[in-house]
Amino acid sequence: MTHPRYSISTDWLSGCGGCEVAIVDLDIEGKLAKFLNDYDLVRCPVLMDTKEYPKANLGIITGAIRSKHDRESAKAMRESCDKLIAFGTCAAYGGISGAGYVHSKEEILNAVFQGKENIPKGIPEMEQSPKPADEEVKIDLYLPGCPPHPAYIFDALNNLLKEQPSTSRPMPVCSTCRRIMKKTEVSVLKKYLDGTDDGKTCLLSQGYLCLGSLTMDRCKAPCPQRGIPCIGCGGPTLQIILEPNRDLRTELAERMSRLTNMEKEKIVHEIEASAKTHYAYTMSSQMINRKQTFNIKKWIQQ
Amino acid sequence: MEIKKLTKLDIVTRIEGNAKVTIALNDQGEAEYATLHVLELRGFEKIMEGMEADKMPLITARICGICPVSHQLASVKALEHAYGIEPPKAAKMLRELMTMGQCINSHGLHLVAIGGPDFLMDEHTTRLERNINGLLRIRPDLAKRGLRLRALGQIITEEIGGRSIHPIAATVGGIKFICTTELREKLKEICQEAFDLAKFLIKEIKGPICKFIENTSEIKMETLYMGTVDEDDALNLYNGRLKVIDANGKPANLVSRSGETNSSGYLDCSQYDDYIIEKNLNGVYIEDIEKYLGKDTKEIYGSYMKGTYLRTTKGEEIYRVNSLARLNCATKIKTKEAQKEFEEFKNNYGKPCHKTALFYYARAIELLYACERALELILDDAIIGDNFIPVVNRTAGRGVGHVEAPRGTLIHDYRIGENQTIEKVNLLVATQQNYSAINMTMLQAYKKFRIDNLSDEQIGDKVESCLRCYDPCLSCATHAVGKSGLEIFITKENRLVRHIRL
Repeated sequence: MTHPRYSISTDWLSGCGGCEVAIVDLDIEGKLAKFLNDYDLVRCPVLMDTKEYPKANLGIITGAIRSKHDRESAKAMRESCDKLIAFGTCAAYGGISGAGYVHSKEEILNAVFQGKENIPKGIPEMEQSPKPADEEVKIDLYLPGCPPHPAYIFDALNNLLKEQPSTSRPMPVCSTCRRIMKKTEVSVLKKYLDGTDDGKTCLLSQGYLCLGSLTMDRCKAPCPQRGIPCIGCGGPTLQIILEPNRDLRTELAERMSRLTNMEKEKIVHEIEASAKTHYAYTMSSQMINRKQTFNIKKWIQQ
Repeated sequence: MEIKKLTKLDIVTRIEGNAKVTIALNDQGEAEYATLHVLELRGFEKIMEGMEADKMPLITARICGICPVSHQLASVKALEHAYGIEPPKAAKMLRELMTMGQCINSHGLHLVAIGGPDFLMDEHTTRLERNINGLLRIRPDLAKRGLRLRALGQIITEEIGGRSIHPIAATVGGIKFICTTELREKLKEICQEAFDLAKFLIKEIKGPICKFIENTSEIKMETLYMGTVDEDDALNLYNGRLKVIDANGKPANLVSRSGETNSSGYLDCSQYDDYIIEKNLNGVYIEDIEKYLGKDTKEIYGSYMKGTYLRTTKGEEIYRVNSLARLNCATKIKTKEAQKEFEEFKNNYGKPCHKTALFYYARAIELLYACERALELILDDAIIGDNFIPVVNRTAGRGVGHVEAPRGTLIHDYRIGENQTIEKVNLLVATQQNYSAINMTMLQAYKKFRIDNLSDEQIGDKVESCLRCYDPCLSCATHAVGKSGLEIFITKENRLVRHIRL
């Protein structure tokens, strides 16, 4: 069965460009040629000189909304594209660009330019707080991941444009990780650089704060499998998003306390103490920061 | 000088990030200033404050999706500097191999897909055609091999680093990677294929690059140059000391903050803030533009990017980083084929050489070096062995680390608190160090190409093509990225006379 040739337009807001490289990286699996053959790329600022916003079947937005400029770009993309993907964790949840959520724009400018008097004049307006794309425009599909693994990119496009059923499951990072989750007698909470990982046992069971069980797998779990605790760059699982009383810290503490000899409260306290790291990718999303139990500004001050 | 017109080459494409350009004309109609305005700011310096120090290599990789390896390694080195840790030899080799992988991707991508269309395609190619898709149509052999080469770079990074974009493996004390015999064999094949492709590519693109250099030969600047060299004064992207030379190739006469002269030409990266000054755009330019636009203007005439200068006996001097600067600083390249190319390059253009388009030529030589060096590293049996030492004692204090990112010197500077959280951060990234030079280059390009029979779109494109020699990456530069598009505003006597959307 042949399909019409669909057009794709992309734009980057406040991000790092990694999502664009992820699209070019389809080439690693020999899929870039297929991508360029299957789809008509009408706008892609990193590769092409198209400056306007041509009509397209599908729009791909990467990056969060940090400035007035980003907001206008998101709107232009919505108007010019039939369907819109929030591509990558920044567009979907604010991502690392959203970690400015806990600071006012003045605090950020003061820190970067080392004093109020050094802030340059005539610069574009910054939003008071960074936010994900869906706070400005309607999004048809979320594809989190920092950046999403190529396998999920084609699946998303086929699903949205060709209406093929998606094969991506809403599973946590744990579902791909080969480590064995088991009850241990560990009673000390470890930092990433503490102790020695045994290479086989679940990092939670060993006392490391790993976010794998609460993070959507759009990466194929490279971190925990190498002994690096998941930092949640793929954004939260649906469980966390959908249930108002479930939050990263309580959920993680509960699981970890069942797997070790540590008390839940102690773990919750630890996570709050280093909240800025654990919530780095999601704090600017209302799905997280509107939860009644979420109080990151207070945790940071303590 | 009084400003009478502002020409805005608004929003640049085929660069990594989001920027506009303004050209200010004086009452004689001559271009007075050209300025790149970076439009966004994520504020990593602030975001990182209060985060756990041990997670910094994972967090800072996210500053840039094109050079995440460099950020991760600069971060790891800064932490190791603070803790006084020396990783094992195999770890250093694997980290260098990752650096080569990234360099192959970044340089390969720029030479073929991003900047390449500027010199590989005919001058009369339309804007819609001038891109990788167009190149795939007219030179499929070259474009496909170029894309394959950069993909090989990404595979190297992914195999060692765990991911191709935002790798994870480099960690304080070494690297979290086990090099099995099987994997090593696979990597040997990949590195060999990359080396063969690079030899083909440099042969094919050298001619077009030289032609581009000839066509833009007025666009040159005699500046200081900074790059990293090893103990034998040879090019090194992962380890070494900073070297600064003047426009004649002599060691620069640097002056420290406390007034001491350093004429050795070498710096340890931890001394960077003693010699390098960061500055925003405020100054004469801003005063002139403000006078022209009026205080209440809504126009954007500033920039989030800070420029940097070196403190020398002559005052504050402009310097350049990135490929050309590295080759101008290095005495030699330690791999055979790249050294041959380097010799030819020096014979043809001199050393140091100053034409801005030479950045492309130097980039092609570095691409060859990266492939050759990658092969050398994977063939060396010393790459197998202990590659991680546990970190026993983590102290509070300051740590500074540096690497050569594809676009130039990258420095991470952290102050770590007693509880092992980050208290203060400063990041010195490649593109901001080229900022003043980029502005000067655009001014030169605008003056050169502002010929009556060129359309505004063509002038804009020419200015952009010269700007692209620096392979500017603004995600790094302001630790932010945004969107693209290009507009020109031409104003006369405070009145907008033309607005061209290109």
